[in-house]
Amino acid sequence: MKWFKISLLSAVVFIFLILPMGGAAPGKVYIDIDAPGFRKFPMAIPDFVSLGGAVSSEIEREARNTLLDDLNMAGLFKVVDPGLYTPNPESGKRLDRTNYDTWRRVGAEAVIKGGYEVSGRSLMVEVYLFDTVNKRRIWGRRYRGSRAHLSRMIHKFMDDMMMEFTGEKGIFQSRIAYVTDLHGRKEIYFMDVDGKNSFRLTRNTVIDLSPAWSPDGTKIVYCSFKQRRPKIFAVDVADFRENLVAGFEGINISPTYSPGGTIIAFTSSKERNYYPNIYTVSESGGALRRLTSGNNIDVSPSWSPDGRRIAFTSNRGVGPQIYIMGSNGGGVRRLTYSGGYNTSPEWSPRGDKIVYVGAFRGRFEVYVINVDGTENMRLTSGRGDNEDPSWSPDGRLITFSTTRSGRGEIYWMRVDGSDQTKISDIGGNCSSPSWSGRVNFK
Amino acid sequence: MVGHFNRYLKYILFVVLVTAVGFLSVSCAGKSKGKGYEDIGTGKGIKGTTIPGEGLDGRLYGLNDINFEFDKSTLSPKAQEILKANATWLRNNSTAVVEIEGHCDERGTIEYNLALGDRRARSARDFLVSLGISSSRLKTISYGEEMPLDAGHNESAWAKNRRAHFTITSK
Repeated sequence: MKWFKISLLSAVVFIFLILPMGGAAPGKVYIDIDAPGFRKFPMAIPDFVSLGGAVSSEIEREARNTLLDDLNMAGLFKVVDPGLYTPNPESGKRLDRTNYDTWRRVGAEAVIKGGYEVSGRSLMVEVYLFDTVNKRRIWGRRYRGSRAHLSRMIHKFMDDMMMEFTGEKGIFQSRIAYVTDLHGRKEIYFMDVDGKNSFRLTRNTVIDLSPAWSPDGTKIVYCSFKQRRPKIFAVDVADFRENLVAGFEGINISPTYSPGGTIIAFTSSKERNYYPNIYTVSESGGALRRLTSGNNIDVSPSWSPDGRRIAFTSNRGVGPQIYIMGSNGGGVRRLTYSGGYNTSPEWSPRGDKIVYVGAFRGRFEVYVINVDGTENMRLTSGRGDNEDPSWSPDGRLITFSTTRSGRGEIYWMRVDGSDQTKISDIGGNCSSPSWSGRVNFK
Repeated sequence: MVGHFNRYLKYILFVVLVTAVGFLSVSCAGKSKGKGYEDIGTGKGIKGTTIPGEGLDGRLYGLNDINFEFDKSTLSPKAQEILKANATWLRNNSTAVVEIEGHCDERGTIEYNLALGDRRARSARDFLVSLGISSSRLKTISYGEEMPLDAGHNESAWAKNRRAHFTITSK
């Protein structure tokens, strides 16, 4: 009886004391992003103010534009017309407080107030987030770094804000790798999701193709002709240390990391019957294992997020189609049945959908399909060729390459094909975008 | 008598003119065949190198490209004829080692086209092996859609780009 009372008391204590504290960490979830027909959350974004030191309209402009682009990409927010609160009605006042009615009057349910202090090449940015409905300050953040990294500070803020509003961290600290022929031959670059901070990764002066990120965002695996035949290399994006992953006889192409990050699936034609089949190999090049067989072309493997299945392209029927198999090569089933040419599958990080490229009326378009084969949907239409789709880490956006305006460019769009938006790139003909997982910018 | 002679002279001049024009046009047509090479029709060029292409005698000389249908690596009858002529060259130059490049047109996925180019090169090689050429003399490589012959965006350019191309790596 005594033990019963003690355990009952402990349970009561647990419920009333421990649980509410656990709930405080992620914050209240304001937006259920998967709810049907949700409306966009109206937000006010007054101009950033100088907190002492120099006033820089350039900083103010860049901070605002980065914030607006990120809010647009998030797809959940509607920015209340800045004309209604320009000039900033609270400039000269404290950044960490606000008059909630000022913002309620223009229809905003939240307001982001930002300030900066620049000295030389150093920059400090302070941002406060207020809930104008419940009249409370949600939090304030301070970011320090170099002036050149202003946009990354805003991305950090946005990721934190997405966590606050949706319970899931944002994707603004992630990167997109891509291929461009700007320097004559195809090379690999990567950039932030807003197109800034483009960085050249390869200088091989031969053809470099098919970049794919490691899950932790530290490495890119790619295919290069720098040793005459197409071989696969893995390169660290911070210190450029590189190793050969697969240099077998024949071709070594279309590499992709497993979700665990330790093995790489790719296509090789090394076997006696010389057909390109799918293999896995460890990152250091050992433990080679063949997954598919047969006198067909099997390329472009893509793992499911739980690592248990792999989607791939195969022409074992008539013409290339998308197939799914177990990660040990067993249980192959065909996924796509519409159209005669379907390639480039990429499995959503959410696990439920696969995006791919299909030929349609003489062009190539991006399609999305459920993993069970239902709801096949074409996302692009009729302008140029649309190829190489890749998912954002939260599975809500797709990046792809398109030739709709003449040269190859990189775009992003939502899972239903809406809001197709160009990402500024470094120039040349761009292709093969690959979206990394979430990264923490330093 | 003189009048007849004049008429015959006109006929003769006319025939000579037609023959000259015909000769010139045939040899010009011969020049435009082959891959940017000047074809002088005997298959032999400066310093004894072999210039690929069709000679004035209608025979194929050197190692010529073969073409493929879209998304196919199978050999058409024409491709097989060209490969038979290539085999003849390889027999006549019995120490030469060649590399067979597989290429695709620009449409379709980069990775799939690298694999298809590989199949095209191997398809050509396997046929040559079946004609008795030693496989150790035949290397293969694929460039997929990365190195088109014709940068155009039309069926005529694409048809040229769907090819297997032969390069001599050592004699």
